[in-house]
This record gives sequence, C-alpha cells and structure tokens, in this order.
Amino acid sequence: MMVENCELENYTLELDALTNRQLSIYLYRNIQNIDELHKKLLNKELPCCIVKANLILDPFQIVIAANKAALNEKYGQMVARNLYTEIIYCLSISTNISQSLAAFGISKDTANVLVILIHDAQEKESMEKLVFDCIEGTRIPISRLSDFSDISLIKKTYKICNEESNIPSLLDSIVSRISEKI
Amino acid sequence: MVYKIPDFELISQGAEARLYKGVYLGKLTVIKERFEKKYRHIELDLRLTKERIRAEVRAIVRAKLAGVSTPAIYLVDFRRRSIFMQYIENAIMLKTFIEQYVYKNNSAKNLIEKIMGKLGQIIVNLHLANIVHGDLTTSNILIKNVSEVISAEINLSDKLVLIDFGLARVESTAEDAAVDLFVLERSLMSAHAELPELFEIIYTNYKKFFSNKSRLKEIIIKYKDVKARGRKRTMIG
Ligand SMILES: Nc1ncnc2c1ncn2[C@@H]1O[C@H](COP(=O)(O)OP(=O)(O)OP(=O)(O)O)[C@@H](O)[C@H]1O
Repeated sequence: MMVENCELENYTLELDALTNRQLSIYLYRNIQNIDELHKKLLNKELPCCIVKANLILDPFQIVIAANKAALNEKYGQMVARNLYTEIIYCLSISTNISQSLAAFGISKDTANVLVILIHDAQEKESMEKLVFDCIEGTRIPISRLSDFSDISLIKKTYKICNEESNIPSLLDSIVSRISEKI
Repeated sequence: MVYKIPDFELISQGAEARLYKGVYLGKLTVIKERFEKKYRHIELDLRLTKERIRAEVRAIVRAKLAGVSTPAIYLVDFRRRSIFMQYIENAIMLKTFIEQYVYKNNSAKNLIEKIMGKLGQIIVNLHLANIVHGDLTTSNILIKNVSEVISAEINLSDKLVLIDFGLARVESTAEDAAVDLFVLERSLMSAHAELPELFEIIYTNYKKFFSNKSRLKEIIIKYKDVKARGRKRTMIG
C-alpha cells in the first residue's frame, strides 16, 4: 500500500446505538487491480464495500446509507444478501439491486474509490489490515473527495434538478433522497 | 420511546407525536416519534402510523426538491415509529419573530413585507409542485439567523424553513391549494390580529409568481368558494 500523505485523517464514526457498530471510510485513487478487487468482492474474500468515488459528494452520504443498511441488518429486513451489498442498495434510489450495483459499484474502468468498513470497536485494525493489503492504489485524505465528485452525474443519479442548489443543500437533498426509499 | 436513544431531550409533546433533540451520526437531530394510540387496534395503529410517516417524509423531500427549505431527512424508522431529521439551528418560529420584533418596531414594516412576499413565493413553489402543506401557520415556519435577516439585504429563501408536514399531501388538487391558503389566512388572523395586512401581502405575491396562470385561475375560484363557505359556517356558528 502506498500512502501519499502520512497525516491521513481517520474517518470513523459510531452508527445508530442499536447496531453497536462503527463505520470507517477510506479514499483511494489510481487503483491498479480493480478486476482483482471486483473478483474478491464477488467471492466474499474481501469484507468491505467499495464504491465509485465520483458519485459521492460527501462522506455523510455514505454515513446515511451505511447506517440504514446496518439497521436493516439488525432488524432482519435487508433487501440484499449481505451488509456490504445492502450499503450500495441503500445508496441508490433504485429499488433494484442490479441497477444499484451498476451505478455505485466498481467496474473495469474505475480508478478512484471509497472503501467502506463496518466493524465493532475491537475489530477495526484487523479488518483494515486485511483490506488495505489487497488494494493496489494510493490512499489519500478523505477531505480530497471533492476533487473526484462529479456533481452533474450525482444530480442525475439522484434525480435532483434544482438549478441553484449549492453544495450543502445538494448534500441535504441527497441524504433525504436516500432516507426516503423505504 | 420504544427503543430509547441516549441523550435525547424531549422538546415538544403534541397530540400525535413527541419531538426529541440530540446528536445522531454526528449531527444535531430532531426525532419525531408518532407514539402508539392505546385505544386503537394495534395493527391498525401501526399501519396508519407507517402511512403517515411515509406521507410526511415524501412531502418534506418533494418540497426540498422543489426548492423549498425543509429539514433534511436522516432516517425513517418504522420500528421506532420515527423520522430522524436535521435540527434547524439558530432558528425561531416566524410567530415568535413577528411578536418579538415586528410588533415593537415600526421600522420593521419593510422587512415584514419582504418576508411575507418571500413566503408567497415559497407557497407558489410548493403548489406548483402539487404539494400542499396542510397546516400553514407562523408556528410551522422557522426563520434562521434573525440578526442577519434584520441587518442585511440577504436572500430570504433559505432563511425560511417549513416544518411539520404531518398534514401535507403530494399530488394535490386546486381545491387543496385553496384550502392551504385559507388555513394560512385564518391562522394569521388569529395569531397576528394586530397585523391584518399580512395575508394580503402573501396572496398578492402568490398571484404574481404563480407561473401556471390557468391553474392559478382554478385555485383563485376555489379559494373564493372555500372562503364563502367558511364565512357561512362562522355565521351559523
Ligand atoms: N427540524 C426542526 N428543527 C428545529 N426545531 C424544530 C424542528 N422541528 C420541530 N421543531 C420545533 O418543535 C416544535 C414542534 O414541531 P412540530 O410542529 O413539527 O411538531 P408537532 O408535534 O406536529 O407540533 P404541534 O402538535 O404543536 O403542531 C416546532 O414549533 C419547532 O419549534
């Protein structure tokens, strides 16, 4: 693993207290082994969720979707077969899992990604190690996410046509859209 | 609450719902819990609650997408009978603002005209998107950053935030829109009797900014109807 900046801030946050779980998010660019990662995800050899960075405006977008996914798991009402696919399903406004995966999941030509882990307080380090070791790419601070967000694509994906929306209100619209799918 | 959330404080207790305030996922959050009605059949009660939560969320999000400021939705949780939404910071009820600032300030006349004019435009945006709020009162409109609003020439549209969409409807008719206006008019008359001109300012701007003129005509006809009926009802008692 290459680390470009030794001062990588740690994005970890407690999810809903009912779930007893935490969420960690990492930003990578220039992924070299996307096919291998894809295969490992499909074979469940990689306990994480990887999404295209260009469709994410702000880490909070992931927080809202992952929290909902973790609660769905807790309540025994997941739509997808595992928690990491459930996150992608929750990120999307589509009620179709394949469509959600096609939009937010990685594909052959994806270079910049967010890696998402859901863990309890003790297992973070071991999961990080397992996942980081498989990724050939450059980890960069999550604060750089905005360099990769494709705002017009994001608006299209979430069907937000409001002309004047600035970034904070766009984020509000996105998280509301995510929460609305019930 | 059915599943207690640590460190949330009760901020309002209504007939249908309790509101709690606290921090959730790192953000100041309001939880609106529609509590169980013991007298109602348990399954029926849950079904009605789900329907109402769903309708309220749908209206809040539609309004937001139509450019009207509303709280962001963080989670909808049927198990906890709750909507988790953004807490609007540095805001007071428009009712409080009018009572505390406008009544005591003759120079506030321009400002209140600006605010009411903006409100007319906001209601236009709602109604053009076929959303009716259902309970338009100055208690269900929050005004943010009051000191900025008073001191500067700023755009008011993101300073006025609509809350409590518990009676809102999407896919509404011209009659629904007319009733929405009438409810607002009545509530202004009783909450702000000292300022009888408020509704007229809103209504004038509503008519000015409503771009779909044929729909507007329908709404005006219905509004006059509703008003005549309302008056008759008051006369009968
Ligand atoms: N998102 C919010 N941010 C900040 N304050 C809020 C928010 N939602 C509600 N409040 C405050 O809580 C009060 C009650 O909210 P709301 O009107 O939604 O609840 P309600 O139970 O329907 O009330 P009522 O029964 O009085 O109509 C509001 O007047 C407002 O002061």
